[in-house]
Amino acid sequence: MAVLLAVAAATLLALAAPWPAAAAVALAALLVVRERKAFLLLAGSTIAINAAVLWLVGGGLEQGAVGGLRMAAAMGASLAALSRVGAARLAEGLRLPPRATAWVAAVLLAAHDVRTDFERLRLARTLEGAWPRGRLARAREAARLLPALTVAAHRRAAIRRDALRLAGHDTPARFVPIVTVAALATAGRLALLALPNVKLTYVVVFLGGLLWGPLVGATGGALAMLMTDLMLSGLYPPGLVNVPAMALLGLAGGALRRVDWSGLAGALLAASAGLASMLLFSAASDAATWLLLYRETPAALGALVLAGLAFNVVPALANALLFAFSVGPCVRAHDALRQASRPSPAPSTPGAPEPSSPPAPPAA
Amino acid sequence: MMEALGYLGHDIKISRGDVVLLRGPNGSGKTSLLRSLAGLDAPLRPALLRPDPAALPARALRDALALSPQDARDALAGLTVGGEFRLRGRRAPDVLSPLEERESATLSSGESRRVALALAEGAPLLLLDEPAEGLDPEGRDRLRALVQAAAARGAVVAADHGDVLDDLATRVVHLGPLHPAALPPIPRREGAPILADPALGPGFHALRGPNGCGKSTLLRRLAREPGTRLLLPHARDMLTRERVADEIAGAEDLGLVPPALQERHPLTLSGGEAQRVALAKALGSPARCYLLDEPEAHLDAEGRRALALAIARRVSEGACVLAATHDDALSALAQSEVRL
Repeated sequence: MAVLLAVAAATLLALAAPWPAAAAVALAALLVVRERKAFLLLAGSTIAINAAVLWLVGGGLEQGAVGGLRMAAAMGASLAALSRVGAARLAEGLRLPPRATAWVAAVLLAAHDVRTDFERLRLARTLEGAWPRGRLARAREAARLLPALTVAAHRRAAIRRDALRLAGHDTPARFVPIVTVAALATAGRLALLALPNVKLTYVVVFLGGLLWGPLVGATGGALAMLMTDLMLSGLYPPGLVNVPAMALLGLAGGALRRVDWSGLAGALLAASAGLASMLLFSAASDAATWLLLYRETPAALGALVLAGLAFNVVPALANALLFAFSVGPCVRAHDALRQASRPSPAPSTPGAPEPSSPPAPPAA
Repeated sequence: MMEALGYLGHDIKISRGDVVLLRGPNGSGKTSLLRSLAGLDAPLRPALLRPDPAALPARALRDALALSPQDARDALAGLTVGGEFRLRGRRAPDVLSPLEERESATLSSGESRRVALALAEGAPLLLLDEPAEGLDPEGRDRLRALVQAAAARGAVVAADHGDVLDDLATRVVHLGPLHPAALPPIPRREGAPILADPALGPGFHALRGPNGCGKSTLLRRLAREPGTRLLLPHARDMLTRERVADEIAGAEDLGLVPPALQERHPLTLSGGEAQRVALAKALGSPARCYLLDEPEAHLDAEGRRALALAIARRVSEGACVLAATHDDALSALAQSEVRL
């Protein structure tokens, strides 16, 4: 709880004045244990991009730099806390009601399982001699694991449902698919933080809507973004624009359930969806940043959105490729397991069980 | 405690003090039966227990029974060990206080088993799915003590292939025919060392030691050498395809995987069936050295016999097979033993 209060205080101070923000960034750089370089790179680029955009539209280099500094400070405070205490203990410190804790725990445990499953699948491929050496080939092979990961994540989410029931907590009917989507999206977002050009979350949330319906896609996407936004940028409001935007992406996937995603036409359609989702997301996020930090400078809105789109061209193309390679195979893998898991009319038990010696003692 | 109903026409009444062992070949439905008893799956026949656990509210179910699954981590639902107990409205026992602040996701297998068994403590009906799997002798003693204590205050139903709980059982329930099969001999071979450290030549060698002594770590290290094949300790980690036939292509003649399984999806297999597929995958391709981490896990008598035959075949071809195992019968077939 004390750590959470410290993060909240640091974020609020950083939003109020530039000097506390600079101090928070410096302190965070000291406290972040892993990924220190990535954090410094992220903080530096955020400050530089904001300063450049505001300077271009006449809003002033300093105003942009301070805005970027505040963003970096909010992220840094949260990352430092995460790095030192861990997401699970932070969430436990909130002392949420048991039902909410159960959801958070299910998503975090299943997200951890997704990371473990990825490592296991990678090891299995290595043992088969099928894990390539080059970076590009490895990225392609890793993308090919997404269908198997989706299926495994669904199984993990079902395990969490069973564990919660045995712990005395009933769960709603769509608990398993929602946790599947949220866990895959959470694990994907956190694992690929250092690779800003690859965004796994989008395709996962889109697939959530496609495989299990719009409600699951929207809820799973929103839950994942809410949890990861709080982890990554703490109480910083522009981050939270991701939540409704990702819910919309889940709804879009749900609306396209009847589309045939097989073949070249399906892959092209999937690529278009990936491209569009990334660019729309970028525009929405930049508009929210403008609203919070630079609304006194109307010209900054267009500049921020344009800069964001330019900045996101490469990620959008990567997203298009990821959608093209993943959507069709994931739908096929999901259908294959659903077919295989249809309950058979009788158990495989041959014959009846026969109680045998020694005989049971009389009931107490 | 719940009152027992009949199962498949036979009365299996679970009474206080009972220790019921479920026996049957791989895929005979032991796990399914335990899950049905716990109300997690639809019952194989209407209402095994009364009241039907599937119809109970979760809180009433928690007070009625506890299930320890094959993988102890599957029993965890909280963020931290302390949180696990808070979710159940209890305090963590003192014996777990060193683990109380630990995140559930970061617990080792042994730590997870300790937490899962502590969570199950006090339940009137204790359901155990292969609880002795992978336990060293000390762990087996602890398990026996737990079962005795649980039976004193309620009843225990355990699915188990081994003989650890045999003398505690008040009843054995057979889910299908079991053919006790003696393990066939594995030939001895002499030759130049294939592995350098430990120096091992062709033949079958056992790697033994208590839980946590580093057997798996050693096998992983040895697996980096060229010409080796590794069987991972959790069979499902080896399975990456959508059909069993694709997993074991080229290894059908080893006799480990029954033809009836070939068209199944790997994720729909039981623990023992998955182990057979993983073994076929590991032993299926030619190699100089096969490194097997607990190859006998979850296997029934027939599966263990098929395993020994497959090892014998690879040894007769001149390969080195090194198996980390807690199984005395399998170790007895080895021509040498490496102890950690």
